[in-house]
Amino acid sequence: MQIGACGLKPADMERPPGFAGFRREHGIKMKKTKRIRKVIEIIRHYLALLVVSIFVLLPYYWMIVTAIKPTEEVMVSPATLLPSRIELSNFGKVWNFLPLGTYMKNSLIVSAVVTIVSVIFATLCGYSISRFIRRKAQKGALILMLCTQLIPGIVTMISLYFIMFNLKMNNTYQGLIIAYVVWAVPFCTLMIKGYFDAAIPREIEESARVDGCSQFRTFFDICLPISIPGIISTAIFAFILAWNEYMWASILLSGDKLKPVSVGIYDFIGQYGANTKMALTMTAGIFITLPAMIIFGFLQKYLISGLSAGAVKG
Amino acid sequence: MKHKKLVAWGMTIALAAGLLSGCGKSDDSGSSSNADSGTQSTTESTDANAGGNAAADDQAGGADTAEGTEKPYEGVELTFWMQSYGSDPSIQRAALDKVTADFKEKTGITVNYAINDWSSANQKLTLACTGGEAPDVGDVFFTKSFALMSSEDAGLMVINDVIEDMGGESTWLAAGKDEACVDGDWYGVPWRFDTRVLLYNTEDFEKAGITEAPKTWDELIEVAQKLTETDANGKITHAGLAWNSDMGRYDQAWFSMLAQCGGTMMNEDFTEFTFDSEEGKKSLQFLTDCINKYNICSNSLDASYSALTEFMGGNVSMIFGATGENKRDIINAAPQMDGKVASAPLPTATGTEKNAIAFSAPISIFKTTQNPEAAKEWVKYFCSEEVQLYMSQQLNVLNSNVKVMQDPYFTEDEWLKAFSETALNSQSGDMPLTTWSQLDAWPDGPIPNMCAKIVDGQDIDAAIAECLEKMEAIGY
Repeated sequence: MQIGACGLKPADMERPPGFAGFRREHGIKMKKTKRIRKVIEIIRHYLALLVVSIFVLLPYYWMIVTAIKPTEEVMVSPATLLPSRIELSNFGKVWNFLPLGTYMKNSLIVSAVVTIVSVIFATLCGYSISRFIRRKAQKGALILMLCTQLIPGIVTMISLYFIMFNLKMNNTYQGLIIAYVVWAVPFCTLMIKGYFDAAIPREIEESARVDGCSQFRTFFDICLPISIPGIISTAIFAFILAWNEYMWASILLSGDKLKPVSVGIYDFIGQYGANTKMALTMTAGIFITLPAMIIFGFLQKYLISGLSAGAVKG
Repeated sequence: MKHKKLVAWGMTIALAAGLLSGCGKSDDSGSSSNADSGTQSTTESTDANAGGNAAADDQAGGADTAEGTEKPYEGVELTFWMQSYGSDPSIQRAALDKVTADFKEKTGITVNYAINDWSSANQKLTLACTGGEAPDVGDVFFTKSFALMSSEDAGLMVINDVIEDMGGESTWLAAGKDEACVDGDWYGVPWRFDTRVLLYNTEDFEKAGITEAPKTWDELIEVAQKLTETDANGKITHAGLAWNSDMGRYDQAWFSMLAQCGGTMMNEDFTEFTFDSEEGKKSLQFLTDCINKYNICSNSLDASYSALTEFMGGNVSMIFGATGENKRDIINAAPQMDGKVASAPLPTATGTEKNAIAFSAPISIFKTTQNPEAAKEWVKYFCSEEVQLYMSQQLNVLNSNVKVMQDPYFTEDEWLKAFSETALNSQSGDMPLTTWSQLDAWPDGPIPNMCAKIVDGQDIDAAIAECLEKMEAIGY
């Protein structure tokens, strides 16, 4: 379409001269409306974010506030949102009430090993399923893994307990690690398979193969380095699963020596479910959640990209 | 991103500092015994240590060891499982460190204890009785269930000889025998005991001009009416009375009421339920009337309702069915209540019936033990009067041993006196049935369900009939 010298379209030139001014005015109004709409959208967006954040962060807020409240305010009814004064002594006292250091050390050891083992297995397995899905065995494996996610953990508890017991692996780190890995690997595999499917173009691998890379070298030198976000998000999942797990640890372990924090914090709960050390329990809760928060703090950008890559085209 | 990293580093430093500070202070006794008990001394343990020392001096299990000349089990190691008591785990560890150290000194036997949390205790004991990991000696409950699921090789051992050595069944309160003895065989030595009393706020009593705790149901209603405050719509703003039941669980309060009007749950042989009686109906009527007719007690069907929390918050004046631990729990959680908490035996229908229900739990030996004789020595030592008194003081639990409950520690203490009196005038709370845990399961077991329905306005006869039908279906 040909455009006139003044920059107006031929159809505009036929219109009365006052129309350009009207259009300019109208354009300004439109821009204003658009800007207002944008502002409203942003406000709405942040409002939604605020509501969700309050919902998500309220338990954590309650934990912190209870930990720093003076004892006489902890059980006051109705509860107070803010403490009348800040009491920090619980942060020192909690270490005397239960062997929190030992519990945290146990949790860290188990969670770290579970994370490493699960990521190794899941990465190899996930890549294999992602790239060779046509092969019937691997397809079957994928279905089996999905099925394992549908079985409640409690169903296999007795049989797995007796397997561990007969192998003399109860009351050992190894027994607990194997139990956790059994549950973590299937989901981690599905997670990382999604990442391989979505984030790593097959063309890159084909180029590498053309350049003479073997299948293994393509995997280790090409695919793995660019899968770091996916691997990290999988690792975080495995770590948190092992860190929070209660059922297996409570059954497989007896005694305090190997007890993880998820079980150890129950030391505060008495015979009838009574807990009169609520402030100390919350203080322990703060220490217990710190490792997971630290990991999120350092690795959240990888986690988000890793999860979203898997989600878009899983 | 920079800020996020800073925050993450900050938290890392905080955690590291916490862990480092913990390394210096934490109790690392773990499950092992024989740690130096002096390192864990607490205010409460000071008096009680005397009891523990006396125990060590007076009794060391066997006749040989008592003379201090022979230690036939020198070098033997035993494992001992116990549930957690109280909400200060360090006190229990210190007490067990002390007792196991004293026992080792006298007998040469090392006892490695493990404290299990209540949420996994049932599963662990079930596995222990069915071929899984079992301790040599354990703190057991639901004894009849565990005795029945035991096989030839695993499960609870019959220890009639230990009972004889310790003076026979008269050594313990009746509830102790009900829990530990199955079909004439003893599967454990009764130790902890539990009964229920009336807990009240003395300040509220003074303000209302009440000088004495109620002794009969009529007095209870009268006192509670004086203490109850309502708004213009008749809604309770301050309850005179509350059942010691959270989340609408009324069965425990009702069991005591049944005893208080002369009724029983089952016949003497435990073959038939007998609460479909005049007494049973009267007690259920009282339960619902306090809420719906007299308006002295909040309807605690609300899942978030906790009588103890309301008492601590000053919203309730009396709790019907308080346990021995409650006073310490209240003072720990709400120090402002110190000096305002008192106890009295629960009122009965006319003032002459039994005051409450009672529970007991035994210490049992498992068949899988490699050292049954050493295990028996430990059970005798742990369940001896002196050690039991010491443990009762440390863990704030009542005791099944008649002589322990007659100790001035129980009979002269203002708070414990009511428990001591009630212990002698109570009847068994848990029925020795294998399916009892299903019949009394909360919230859907037939008994709690019946109580909740009656409180909610259902006809008493219909609710009892429905309950009995469901119980029949489960079996007992």
